[in-house]
This record gives sequence, structure tokens and C-alpha cells, in this order.
Amino acid sequence: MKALGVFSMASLVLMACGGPSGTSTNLASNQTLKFPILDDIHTLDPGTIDAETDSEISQNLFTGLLKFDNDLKVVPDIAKELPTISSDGKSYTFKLRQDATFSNGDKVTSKDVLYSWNRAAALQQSSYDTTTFQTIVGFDRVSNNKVGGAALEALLEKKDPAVTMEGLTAPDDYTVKAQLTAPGTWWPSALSVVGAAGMLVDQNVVKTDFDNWWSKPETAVGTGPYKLTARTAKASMDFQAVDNWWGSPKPTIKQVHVDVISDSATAVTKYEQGGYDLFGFGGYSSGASLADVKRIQATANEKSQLHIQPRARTMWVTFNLVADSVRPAKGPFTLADGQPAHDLRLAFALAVDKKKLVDIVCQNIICSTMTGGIIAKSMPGYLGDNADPLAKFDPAKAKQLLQSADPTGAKTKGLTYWYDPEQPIYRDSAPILQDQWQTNLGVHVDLQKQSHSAFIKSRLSGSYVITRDGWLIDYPHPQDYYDGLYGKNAGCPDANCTSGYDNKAFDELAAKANALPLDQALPEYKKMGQMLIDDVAYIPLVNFQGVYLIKPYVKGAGANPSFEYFWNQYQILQH
Amino acid sequence: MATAAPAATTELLGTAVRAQSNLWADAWRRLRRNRLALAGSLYLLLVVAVALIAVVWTPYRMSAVGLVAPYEGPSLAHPLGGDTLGRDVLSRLMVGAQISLVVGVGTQLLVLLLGVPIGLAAGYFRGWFDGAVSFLINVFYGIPDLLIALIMVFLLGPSLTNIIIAIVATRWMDMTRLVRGQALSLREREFVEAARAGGAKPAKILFRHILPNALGPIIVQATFGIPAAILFEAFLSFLGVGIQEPTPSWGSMAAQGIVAIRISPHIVLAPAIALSLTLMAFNFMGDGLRDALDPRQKR
Repeated sequence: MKALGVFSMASLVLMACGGPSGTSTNLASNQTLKFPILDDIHTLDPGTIDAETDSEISQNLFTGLLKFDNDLKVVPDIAKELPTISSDGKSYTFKLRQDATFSNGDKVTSKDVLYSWNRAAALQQSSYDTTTFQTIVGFDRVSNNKVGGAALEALLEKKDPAVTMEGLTAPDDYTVKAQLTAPGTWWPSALSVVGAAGMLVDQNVVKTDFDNWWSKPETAVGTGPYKLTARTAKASMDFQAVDNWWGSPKPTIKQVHVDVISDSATAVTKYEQGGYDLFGFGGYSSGASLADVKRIQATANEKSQLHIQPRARTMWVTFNLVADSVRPAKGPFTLADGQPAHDLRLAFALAVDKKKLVDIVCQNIICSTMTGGIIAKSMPGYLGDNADPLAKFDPAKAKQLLQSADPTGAKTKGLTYWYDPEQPIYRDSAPILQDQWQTNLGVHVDLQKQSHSAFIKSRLSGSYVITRDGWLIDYPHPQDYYDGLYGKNAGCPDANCTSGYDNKAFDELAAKANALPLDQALPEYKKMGQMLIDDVAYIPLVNFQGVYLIKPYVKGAGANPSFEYFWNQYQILQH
Repeated sequence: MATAAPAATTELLGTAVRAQSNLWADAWRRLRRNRLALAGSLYLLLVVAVALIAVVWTPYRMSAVGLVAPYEGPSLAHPLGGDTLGRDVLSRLMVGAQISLVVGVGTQLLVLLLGVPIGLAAGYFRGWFDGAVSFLINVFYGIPDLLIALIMVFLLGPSLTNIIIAIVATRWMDMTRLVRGQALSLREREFVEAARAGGAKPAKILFRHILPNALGPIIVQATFGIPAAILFEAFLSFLGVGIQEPTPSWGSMAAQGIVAIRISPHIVLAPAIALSLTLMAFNFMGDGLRDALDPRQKR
């Protein structure tokens, strides 16, 4: 139980004015919330969700056994209480509430938990499927499942061993037991990630259309406080509060309307014209342009509606570190190429003036320099300010390293930096990196942009020699970074791995650290961070700040470094 | 066995040549009297000069970031201010002029290379070739320009050459149709009949007799085609599928500046004004050339 106090952050509720628990007499009669989202949803199915916008919507429709509160502390949700953990740390027992229901009235029982988790583990369509369930006994076999759709549903229906983790059992209708392969103090946090694989789905509706049940109001059924009532692809969605929802706080907002607007300037303008109550939600927290932020900061009226808050989101440059038959990218930076490749990576890292990049792209408003390793500032496992030597700018040494590693320039000829331009910081940092490498190394690197979803897919399959990379935390634990990005647990070198980085020492450290309580594990995690630095696996660039616009009459809206607050905490006051 | 041309034929050809030389002299005289056309031409000469100077010199390196504070307005050191990344707008505008001219002129050269021979052959020979060309022209007219260009840029990649190829794919039909029409009309004229009767081969008839008499409309069409191509490239770049960073295009500069239009309008205004003036100048020159080469249209 002690381990479940994973990380209690100082409250970052800088924009929320309190929850909706008060009996506000000044509530507006029309409790309809309107805001834009950056991108149309790809899915709302917790078993396949992998995109920020999707999970930020889905978190209001689906819930799980545990959840994070606004301070990023794990608390019970459908579970009556936090799980009981065996003395060896490998067995978790969850007792479920008996009043929890899906929005169609179906009662939630332990069978729904087993179905939802086995299904997600077998689907393997989201990185969350692996990170959430990899530690359960039997996951390795289930994760090898290759069937999908109705065929997978048939296997799940008959509880076929091929898609059933034997470590997951239901002694009765309201008890779930999970047997882990190793103690995993991080596991409750992984289960609590909002809008992701740990959330529950209703087999009665999923089996009607296994892949697309989530897209239709009549079958988009979850246990959350809201349900989908209308959707026009690439245009808008409408949601409605579930009557007599079992959880708390009970939703005050009755209707939610979201428009898909991929241009942040348009979205901000419509917010300013009164068309929206919020901006910065649904994938837009890093989407505001610096120009808009500066302009709003200079206004007397709207300045108070602007909320800037650190997000646990970092951005860096990744090299392709492994050349094998599975990874399409080769390039001059691979670990197998030894010291010259190491020096080349270091040259590229030291040639970038990160402070200048931040000054130009963010003017220290929407991002700051990333100087303490791969983990975001304020998160456990952060190495400390200026602890990362890769964050330094040393053009003389960079040039010297380049000359020794690539005296003829042949290795660095024809390099291309790949990026996704949807977020202003990603877009604007690309020409700056290009200029820095040109100016400080004399190396011309072409720029190539690609739409976000295609970019992520190619990146994770190891298609790029040098590319934009980054991470938004799912939960405040170093395991979230390391097992999500590097080493065997992430799937490296060949599956779901941008860099390909994996070695025995790193994997051993991960296994050791993941089994320890967080306070004891931190030194091990820091060694892993140091290994990445020693191997120059990345070029650190920026920590993000979230930018939110909230009308003064919207109470309770906001976000913490990891996720946006749930809609059932919001209220619209008279205005 | 060579056959000497009859005296009457020689006289007819000589008349045609004299008429042509008079036409060009008259056209030049009329063009000089058109003040808007002259002003447009002078402005275009300035743009060409700026583009040429930018090959060897710009005030600052066009891709150098952080030269000024991002969004900073015009100053003595940076007369057109800085862009969103602190790059010198004037330097980028100068290089952007190169891109616009290369795209505009390059596109029209390719359109001429493609459209003139095909149009001449279709109009002169008629038959199945003319039918096939007319069908193809109609097919291309039926597909939206932007769709064709986007597909081509997607397939070929967004380089300068590929942008030009993509624009040519959307513009070749205008020139081909015009030249075909000219050839259809001119092939029935007496001097062509005379050349044919004199034993001239089709290639000689097409390029020595028909083409010179169709040059006026072709030049006018090409002149109007240049701004159309420049605008199309700017539009593609504005959409983000045109010229890629760090090379500036007026369209991409405008696209970049649009996000800051409310705090730093100079970033979008500078390329937008340059683009507008250039398009106007080409159009004034085109109007002038049309009036000069075919004064009947003016009436």
C-alpha cells in the first residue's frame, strides 16, 4: 500500500477555482461547454488509443479501477479502495464497487475487467497495451496474438488461452486478482493513465462491432460521466452527461460540444469572439502560437484568461542507433560504429545552442530549456538542472569532434531531419536546428516534414536517421519514460522504438529498478538516464509549458502536467 | 530533286515577311505609348535585378535565425524587420524573388516547349492526333488544378523542380489550346497554301510560317501565364506543400507571417505586397503586349 503513494505533487491547480461540489446558486442555466480540439479523434476505444487528443476526450467516457486525482495521486475509481498487495509485491487484489454501471445501464463486474484487459493486451494496437499489462503473468503469450476483429472477439468470448492472461483472475463478481511476473511498484500508476488501456469496455456493445463500436452514439458505451451523442467525422462531436452517473463529482456540465479545428489561430480567434469557452484542451495545450500568446499577454481584458503551466512534456532529437534488417534507417550515428559515431552524435548535440532555440521559438514563455536529462523537470527521476552535459553548447568542441569523426564529410552528407509540423514548437525548431548545424558544423541537413500520425508510425519503426522526438508523461514515474522509449521493455531495438537503443546493462537496470519502491529505485533510474547521456542517445531541447485560455465564467477547468481535468469537475457560472 | 518556287509564291512569302516586320515595329511603338505596361516592365526589371543581386549578396544570410528578436518590426539595420524566427525579412524577400521568377519563367518555358509543338501539330495535322490532344486537354480541364498539383507534389516531393513540373501539369493546356487554334486558322491562309504548293515540308511550314504568325498571342499568353504560375507556387507554399525550409518563397513567408499578423503585420505584408506588385506588373505588361500585338482587341 505504501508504494501506492506514488507521487504526490504540490497542487498545480493554478487555474481551477475549486470543484463543483459547492451548491453554486449562480450557475448558468445553459450548462453547455464548447471548445475546439486540434485533430479529429482516431479512436475512443481505450484498447487502441495512442494519441493525445483521443485520450483527452476518452477520459471522460471511460473509467478504470484506479485513476489519478488532479494532484497526480493514484486513487480508487471503480475499485472500492486501493488494491491489496501481497508481501512479495507480485499479487494485487482489487475489490470493485457494486454500484458502478456502464452508460447503457449494464452493471460493471470483474468479468468486464478481465475482458477489457485481455482484449487490450491481445490487441497490441497501442503502446499503452504493452506498458499497462506487460507485467501480468501470461502477457507474453497474449501479446503474440495476431488475430483481430470478430475472430479475436470469438477467442475472447470463449476465453481461449491464447488471449487470456492466466495471471488475471476473478474469484467473484466484484474481485479481481492480478499476478505479476515481478514486483512492479509503478503498475497502479500505469493502470490509472486516463483514457488508456486500463479503462473498461462493455463486451455487450464491443462485440456488436469489434473495431468501430466506439464511433456510434448507440454503442459508444463506457463507465465515465459522459456519453457520445453525435459525431461528424473531421468536424465535431457532442457529448451528454450520463443520467444518475455512479461516480463523483456528479457532472454539472450537461452538454459538451467540440469542433475539430486544426489551425490554432482560427481556434484562438473564435475563442476571443465568444465562440468557445476554452482553448488549449483536446491536444491544443502545446498548440498555441507564440504570437497569439504574446498578443494576449499584452491585452488588459484577456490576459487574466491566459494560463501557462509547466507540462511534463519534453522534446529532443533522436538518432537512429541501430542498423539491422528490420529498421529501414541506417545512417552514420549507430552504436555499432563505435567511437567515431559517438563523437559524431556528440558533435551534433554540442553544435545546437539550446538557449538560442528556446529564446527564438518560445521566448521562455511556451517552453524552457531541457537540461536535466530525458525526464521532464519536476518529475521523479529528473537528473537536476544543468546535469545533462548534452544540453551544453560548445561549437568549438563540436567542430573538433566532427573533424575527427568525419574528416571528409562523407558520413554527414545527405542527412535529413524529419519532423511533424502540427505543433508550433516542432515546426519552428526545425529550421533553427538546420541553421545551427550549418553554422556551427558546416553540415547541411535537409528538412522533411510529415503529418503527425504518419510521422509517428514511421519513427517508431526506425525509419529516420535523425528525427524529432519527445514524451508527454502518462504517469509520474521514471519507468514510464524508460520502458516507453528505450530497452527491451519498450520493444527496442526493432518494435515501437525510435532510436533502437537497447543493451544488456540497460535492461538489467530496468528490471532491478522497476521492482523497487520508487524512493529506492530512483538511483537506478538515474543510472539509466546517465547511460543514455554517455551514449549520446539524444539531443535535449525543450520542456513544454501548456497554454490554456479559460473564460472567467468556467469554473474548475484546468490541467496538471499530465492530463486535463475531467469535465465533471467543471461548472459554467452566470455571465 | 529540288524545285524552284514559282515567282508568285516568292512574292507572297516576301509580303508575309515584310508584314511581320511591320507588325513588330508597330507593336513596339504601341507598347512604348502604354504607360502602365512600361511601369510594369520597369518594376519587373527591378525584381530581376534584385533576384540577380541576391545570387551573390543579401544583407544577411537568409536562413540565419535569431538575427533580430522574433517578430521585431522594421529598423535601420533590418528595413523590413525580422520574421517569427528572427530572420531578416528583406534578405528572405530578395531570395524569394529568385524563386518566384524561376518558377514563373521556368514554368512558362516548359509550357512553351510542351504546348507549342503539340498545339501546332494538333491544329495543322488534325485527325486522330488532334482528337487525342483535345480529349486530353478536356480531361485536364475537368480536374481541379490544385488536386493535380498536390498529387504531383506528393508523388515527386516538394522540391523547386517538382513544383515547376506540377504547375506545368496544370498550365500546359491553355497554351496548347491557343496554339492549336492559331494553327487551325493559319493553315488555311494563302501564304501557308503557297508554301505547301511550293513543296515545303510540314515541319518547315509549322515553324517557318505558322509559328511566326502565331507568336503575338503566344507571347501574350506566356506573359499572363507567368504571374499565374507565381501565384500558384505561392499558394502551394502557403499551404505548406511548396518550397521547403529554409528556402524562402513569398508564399511560404506569407504563410509563416499570417500567424503573427495581429502583432507583427510586416512579416506577412512584405511578401504579400511584393507578390501583389509583381503580379500586377506582369498583368500590366501582358495587357500592354496584347494591345500592342493585336490592336483590334483594344477596340
